Amino acid sequence: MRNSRLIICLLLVALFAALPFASVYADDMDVMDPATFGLNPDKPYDGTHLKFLICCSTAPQFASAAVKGEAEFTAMTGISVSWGDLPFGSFQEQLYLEATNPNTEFDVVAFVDAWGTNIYDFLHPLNDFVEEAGFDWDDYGPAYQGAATGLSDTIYGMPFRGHPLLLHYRADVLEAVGMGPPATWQDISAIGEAITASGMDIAPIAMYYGLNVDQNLFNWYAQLWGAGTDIFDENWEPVFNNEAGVAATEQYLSYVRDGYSPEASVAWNEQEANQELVQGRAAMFIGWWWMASRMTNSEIPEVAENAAFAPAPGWEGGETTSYGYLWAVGVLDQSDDRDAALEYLKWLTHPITERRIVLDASDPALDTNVAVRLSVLADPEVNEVHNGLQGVASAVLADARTIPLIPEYTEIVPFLAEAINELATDPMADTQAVLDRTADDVRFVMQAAGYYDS
Amino acid sequence: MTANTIGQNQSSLRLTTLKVLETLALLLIIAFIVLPILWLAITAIKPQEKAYSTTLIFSPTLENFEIIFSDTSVIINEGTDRERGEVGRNMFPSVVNSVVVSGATILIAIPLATLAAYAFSRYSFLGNSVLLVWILTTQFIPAIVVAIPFFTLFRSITLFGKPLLGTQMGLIIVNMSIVLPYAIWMIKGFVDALPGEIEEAAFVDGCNDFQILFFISLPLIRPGVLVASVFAFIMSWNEFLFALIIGREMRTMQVALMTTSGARGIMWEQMAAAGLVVMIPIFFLALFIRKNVVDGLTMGAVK
Amino acid sequence: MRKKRWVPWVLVGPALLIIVLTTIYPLLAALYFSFHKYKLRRPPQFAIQISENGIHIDWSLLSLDNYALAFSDSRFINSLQVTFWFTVISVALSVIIGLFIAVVVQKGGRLHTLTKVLLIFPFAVSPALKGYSWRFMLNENYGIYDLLIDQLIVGPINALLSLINNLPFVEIALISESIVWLGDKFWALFMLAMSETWGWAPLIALMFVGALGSIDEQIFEAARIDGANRLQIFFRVTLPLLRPVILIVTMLKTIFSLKMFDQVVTMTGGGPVRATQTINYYIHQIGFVRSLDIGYASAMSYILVVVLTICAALYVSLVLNRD
Repeated sequence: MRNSRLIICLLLVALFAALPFASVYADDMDVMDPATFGLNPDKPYDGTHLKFLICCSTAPQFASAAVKGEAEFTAMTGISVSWGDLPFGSFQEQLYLEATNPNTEFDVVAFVDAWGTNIYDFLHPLNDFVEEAGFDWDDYGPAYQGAATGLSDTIYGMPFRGHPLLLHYRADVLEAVGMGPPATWQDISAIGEAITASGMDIAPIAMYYGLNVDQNLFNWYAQLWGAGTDIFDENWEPVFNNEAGVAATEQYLSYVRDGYSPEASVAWNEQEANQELVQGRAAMFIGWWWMASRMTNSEIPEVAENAAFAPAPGWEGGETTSYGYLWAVGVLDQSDDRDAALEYLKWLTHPITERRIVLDASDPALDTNVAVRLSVLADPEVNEVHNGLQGVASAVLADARTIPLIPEYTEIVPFLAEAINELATDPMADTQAVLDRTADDVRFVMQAAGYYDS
Repeated sequence: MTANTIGQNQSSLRLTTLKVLETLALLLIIAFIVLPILWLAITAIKPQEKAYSTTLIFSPTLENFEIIFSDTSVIINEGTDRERGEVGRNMFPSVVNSVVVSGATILIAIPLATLAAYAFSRYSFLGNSVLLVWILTTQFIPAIVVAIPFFTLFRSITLFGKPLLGTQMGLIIVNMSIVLPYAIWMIKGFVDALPGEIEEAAFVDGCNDFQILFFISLPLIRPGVLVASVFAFIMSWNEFLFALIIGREMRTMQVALMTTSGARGIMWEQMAAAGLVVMIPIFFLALFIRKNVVDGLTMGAVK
Repeated sequence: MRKKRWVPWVLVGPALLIIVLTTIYPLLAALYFSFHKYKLRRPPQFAIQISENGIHIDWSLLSLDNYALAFSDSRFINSLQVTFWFTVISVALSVIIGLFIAVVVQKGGRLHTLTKVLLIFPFAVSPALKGYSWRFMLNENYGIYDLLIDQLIVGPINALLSLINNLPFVEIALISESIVWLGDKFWALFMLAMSETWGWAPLIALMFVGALGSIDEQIFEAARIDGANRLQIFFRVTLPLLRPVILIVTMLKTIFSLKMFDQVVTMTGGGPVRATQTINYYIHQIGFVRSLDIGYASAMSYILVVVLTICAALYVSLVLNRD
């Protein structure tokens, strides 16, 4: 608890330190002037039509970019863009199939960190683009940089939307039991015990252990890293089943096993768990920060008025390491309109575009707090609109990491997600045994892919 | 009272109990069948905040339909303190895709199936019955085996500069594999039921094979062809695996149901509204061919 | 009656050509793929290479590795087991409930007729939608099925159990009212089978109604005169007479169940853990979602083809023997 106060103090200091930078984006800038974005004023790509492969275009974090200002981009460049809207559940599949298809119609694709590894060969390297556009690569935190470059120095995608893990909680409930937001994963158990003992009719926390696009791994990664271990060691040997790994996994599962998270959470996905919080049936939830507005916009006044956010907890006596989840946007090498696509990317990921989108809260359906650039996250005006949420996010991102960026990882992830789901659904399952078996599965994939040849 | 009347009373009592039990069983069956459909219909007209509950007290709304058929953001609960915005997810293109794909599928499949069915029924030629049984067995080929090679093929074949993968044309071609065999068997059943005397008489009068087929037989089996068309339409309308793998971003309504998943997980009230759109037309079609569905599904094996 | 030999071939030809192209071509292509290392991530290298110098076959590119992998892949073995149990449960439930419905609605008044009309309704609900609606209704917080099961089934049983528990020396554990239907390995598979049963039992009932209608009424009359009661008539007369139809329907439903895919995607997503990953679902995951391994996916689907071919042969022999 003291930790979180300290963080908030630090944040305030950081905010004021960032003030001079903020003035770079004065509001009187002309957003209709191509020069503002470094776009070619001669409209060399006039009449070009681009197809953008992206998921969930109705989610505010994405819809906001399509609706706010894309008409301006078209007016400035003559390039029109259509978004191929895909449901999240089938997006990964569609991404692979389109990117690897020599006849694809798509020019621009969005991808989530590890998903990109399977299509790196088909993406246009963006290092020259970043330099030419005059973008500051260090304006992105280490987790996002890593997720956009894989294990190399080649930039495959520009960070577009990114998410640190945030604790969403009910200030009133925690106050009623005399506690502040948990600083460690272990604190959650203590708070859970206090809430249960108080007899309040609310679940202490809503976790999500269900099998749904591997969302049940998000919190697990953070605990694994916090406890001092990882998925792989430097020789690509699985180590998540070592002592620290088992301890982290048991801590992660303890919330449902001890009854602090509802029994049904073994089947929930992230959205369903969040819904528990929004509907006032749970007091805490740890998930991506874009969901914050779900809580502040809750139909239940008690929930909306007591919505509070803090960085995701850390490991007691260990580290506080979050998973930074990144949606990057890349350009397909085989696109016939690659240069026009790069022009679009320049506008789409430009700091001014990014800042304008988060600043504009006029349409509730398009209101989003999601930004990825450190300069935008530190912007006081942006923080004012979103009650300092971006400040909390930057604090989390400072220590955030990304997952193993190898193509085989997408084959390995289902093994891990299944292991977590099995441990959650089967109370008799032995954590060590299940993790050991999963490590064998993982090693099998890595062996077949030739990681252990030497 | 004599022993006889007691016996009669007992048996009438037993009959009444049987009647009551039977009625209860019927009501149970009706509930079993109707409940999921009814619940979907109710959820589709529930306001968003009531959809996540079992309550039956709500003021009906068409907002959910408005959201699934609009391109821009929709204000819901307008003018109340619960006013909120929701981005629309226009499913209209998917409705068009479904109609075009299913429609074109039957337009191609039914004429071909009718000719083939007529030949199978009226002519004895080498391999007639073997071919028929072989056609029957093609329905047992798992759809995934058909989907994999067509997927890789359609990726590399382009039509008018567009890969066939993700087009209505591609999906129509693959749909043939499930629709044609059923249609042939179904229409053959109708031709079989047609007495041969009329054709015989026409033949004696000097009509050739094709004149008999087009001017005598076809008009007589028209109702059967219509039934088979409806059946084939329903099959391709409800098809999911091909639509997912071959149709891709050319989403039919079945696959568009997946897009109701969003920030709240699956948005059940929108899923229900989309579900009704998918289901209602098929309801009427199914009622229309009620008596023939069994023959269609079993290819006449159960009679 | 008519002489021209070529006429039937002209009529059958176009349809036959399309069926061959849409079934035989993929069957051969998938078999060919299954002997290759073929992942979508890289352009495939096929054994048969056609160039200006003619056709060259590179035998080294062909192997049975994909088939060997299948039988050492615990997830594939699991999908075989899941499909087996799903088939057993869904076929048994569909046929038994279908038979029950048929016997109840077969003859009678207006309510019977209404029910008979309603039987066609589940056919109009697509499998994908079926999966979503069942998932919605089984939700432990706001699902109508969950509510009804708790109120009408679990509640009374627990009340009975509590009564028994009042007796000395008896202690029976009550049934939990908070079962997460799709979060439990057994219940998820069972409910998946139930959703399938909801769609099929009414159709199967229609099949039986047709078959029952064609049985000579005098047979039942004779049995009744002999003093047989309803149950006796059902087991001694109706069932034996329906036997051929029941066999055919069971075989047909088995084949459809083995191909289960749509509801797995929309209802359970294969979970919890791997409890509802049917063969088709797993093949789709491997081929199109996870490893993009078309070679391996083809090999697994060929194993399914073999199983289905056996079933199809059984089915055809049943149908032919009946005639």
